[in-house]
Amino acid sequence: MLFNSLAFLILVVVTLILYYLPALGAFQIYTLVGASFVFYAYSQPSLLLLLIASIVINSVSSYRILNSPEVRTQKIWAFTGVGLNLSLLLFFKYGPLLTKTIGLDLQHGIGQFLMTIPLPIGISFFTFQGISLVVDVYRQKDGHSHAIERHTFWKHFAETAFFKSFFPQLIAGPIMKAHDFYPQIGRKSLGEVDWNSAARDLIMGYFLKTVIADNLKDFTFWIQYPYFLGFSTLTLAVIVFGYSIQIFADFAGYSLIAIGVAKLFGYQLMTNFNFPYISQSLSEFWRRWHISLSTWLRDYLYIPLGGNRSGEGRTYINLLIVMMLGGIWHGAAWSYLVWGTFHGVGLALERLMARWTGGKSTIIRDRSFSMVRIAATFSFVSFGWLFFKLPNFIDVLRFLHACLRNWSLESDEKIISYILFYSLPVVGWHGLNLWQRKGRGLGQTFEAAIFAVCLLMLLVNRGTTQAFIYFQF
Amino acid sequence: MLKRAVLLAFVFLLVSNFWAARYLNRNQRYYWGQSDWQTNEIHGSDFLLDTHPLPVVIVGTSLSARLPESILGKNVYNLAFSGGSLFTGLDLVKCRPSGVQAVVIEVNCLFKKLDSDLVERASSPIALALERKFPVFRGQCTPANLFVTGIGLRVVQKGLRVLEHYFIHGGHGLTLEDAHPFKALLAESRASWSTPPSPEELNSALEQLDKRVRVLRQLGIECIMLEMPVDHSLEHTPYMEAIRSGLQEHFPPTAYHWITPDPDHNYATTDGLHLAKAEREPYAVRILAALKAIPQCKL
Repeated sequence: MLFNSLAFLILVVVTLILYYLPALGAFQIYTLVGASFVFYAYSQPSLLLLLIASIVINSVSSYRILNSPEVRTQKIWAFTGVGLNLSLLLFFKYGPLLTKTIGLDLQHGIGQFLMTIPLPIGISFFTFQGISLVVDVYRQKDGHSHAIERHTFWKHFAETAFFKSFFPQLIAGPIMKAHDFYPQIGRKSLGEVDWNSAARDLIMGYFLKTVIADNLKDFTFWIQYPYFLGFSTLTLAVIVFGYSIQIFADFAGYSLIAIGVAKLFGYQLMTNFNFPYISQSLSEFWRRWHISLSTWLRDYLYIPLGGNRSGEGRTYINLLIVMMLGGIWHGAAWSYLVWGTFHGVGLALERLMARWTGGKSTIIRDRSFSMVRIAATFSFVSFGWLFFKLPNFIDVLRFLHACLRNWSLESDEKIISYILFYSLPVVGWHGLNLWQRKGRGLGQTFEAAIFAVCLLMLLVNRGTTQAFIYFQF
Repeated sequence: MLKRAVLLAFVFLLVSNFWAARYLNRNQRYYWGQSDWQTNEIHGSDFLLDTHPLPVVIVGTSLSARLPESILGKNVYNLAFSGGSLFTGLDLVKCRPSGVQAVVIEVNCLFKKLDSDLVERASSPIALALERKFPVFRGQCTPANLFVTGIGLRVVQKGLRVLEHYFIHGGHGLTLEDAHPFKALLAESRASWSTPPSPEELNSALEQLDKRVRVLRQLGIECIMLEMPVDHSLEHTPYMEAIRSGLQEHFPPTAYHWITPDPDHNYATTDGLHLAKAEREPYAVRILAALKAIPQCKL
């Protein structure tokens, strides 16, 4: 079910009505779980069983951890919970990739079976949330926090079902951490809803998704072999720029819609994007892009591996491991592993450079070079998106060859004009953020004019619908 | 702030509508969109909004979409969709049969799937009513199109000329042919057309076409089969022969009018499938001559 579909609108309206009915106040969580199951089953009814199985695994393992007095038993349940989560992910998502890689017969037997496994939508997201729950509950044994409280099994099961399946963030995040979400669970009233904030998130989210991303896809379509062979270097560069804007608008738009819808039900989801394209370094980029994933990787993978506390060499290894696994999380294709490695190497080199220069390099440190750093970071990241758009690595090489060779071809003015037009709001939005960071305000009328333009474009300039890019992950 | 935004949005909508109406009055019959998909939607909506009689309508894919309108004339409406399907065109004709005497069906790409979303969107009564009253809702009048066709393109053209003058000094004379996109496409077609389509797939497509043709004939619309020329190396591939024989069986020349390429002419194409620029006009003339010879076309 797409966020920009009539079915979704009907689902939200009906759920809101039932949710805030006084007679059903005590059953708010169950209302949302029911709506979430409808949302998930709408596109893949049979895979609802998988979601339920995942909920059962996580609720049982986390419940056993909460209620086991012995540390050893808690550890066993923690390993079981994490292991089962990862097994589901490996089987459903990476089964076909591993089958092809190890050379099994794809037409018969187990090879054929593995190739026909359907990819459950959102599995990467809800699996990571499940792991977050199990680990957070296990970490509570050290007494640091008690965000997830001990209840009866059925209450815990209901809360876990809600946490994992909450429909605004079920399919493509933000990936909520259990210790952030569970304390919010409780009865909500209509009077508590921040309508203004929710409306802003929804308007901006739909604008980014349906106007910017859905229109830009008409042009980034040409990043496909052999079509890109016939474009000039400049046109190709602009199309890659357009793809960077598209992927941001698509994903950030989705996240904003999820955040806005969650606010209608009284829940705060975490911010997932913080103007990533004004980052002045890769490490800053990863603090601003897909924040829920990068913080998840930091909290549940990087730090348990030792983080940066086990010496310099080990730090670089940890960075590479985390980024490679973060890359392959995005999709069952080796190009995503390459993308993750690309960023891992970039982060490691950045860290190395900072150490060598002692932070004294003008380009690294001086504020007057901030635009150079922003441009360099943006260029690095944009180049990396090629691995997303062209999962076949040979096509990436062909694309680069075309870029190097096609200098003298005539540029496509139409494509360049439209990409620049649709990229302008995102560039402007980032620019405004830079402006506001210097302590300057926008003014209510100017802000109202911005939202007015967004509303107008939503009405008359939407692109043709496509699923969110991140749905495939 | 939100109330102010909604009010301002309404004002902007009125201004955009005024601008859109001026644009429509100044421009020609056919409009282009930002992309093939948008252009297809525009053509679909425009076809349904056009109240003039349209004696002949061409349906098909990008092969026939590029036939020059200047040759075909005002009485031939080209409803072929680039990247689209002949079935989409046929379904749109079904939505607006009045004033149509004949449909020319380009039968080369039989397996392109119907775009039911496009048909639904273009033929939605609410969308059509809005587009009729408020031009700003029409595809060609989006703020993006108005801006780009207004000043956007000119600014970019000037910028490109400056860039080319100072940074790109003609390079090493690389041409589009050297870049090989079309050769790669032709190679792909040769490879995929070396095997015939599966009988089930072919029969299903022919049945779908047959069903639609029968409906149109019942509405009194003549259906004329059009085969667009392709590269000589693709003409007699197993794929093309299977499709040709299936079509001849379902729509025999004894019962249907056929417009086919000149068998003695080696047509130049850009990528094996699409006619080169120099070939489009002569072939459009050939089509027009054939249509004039058919009494039902009334050209």
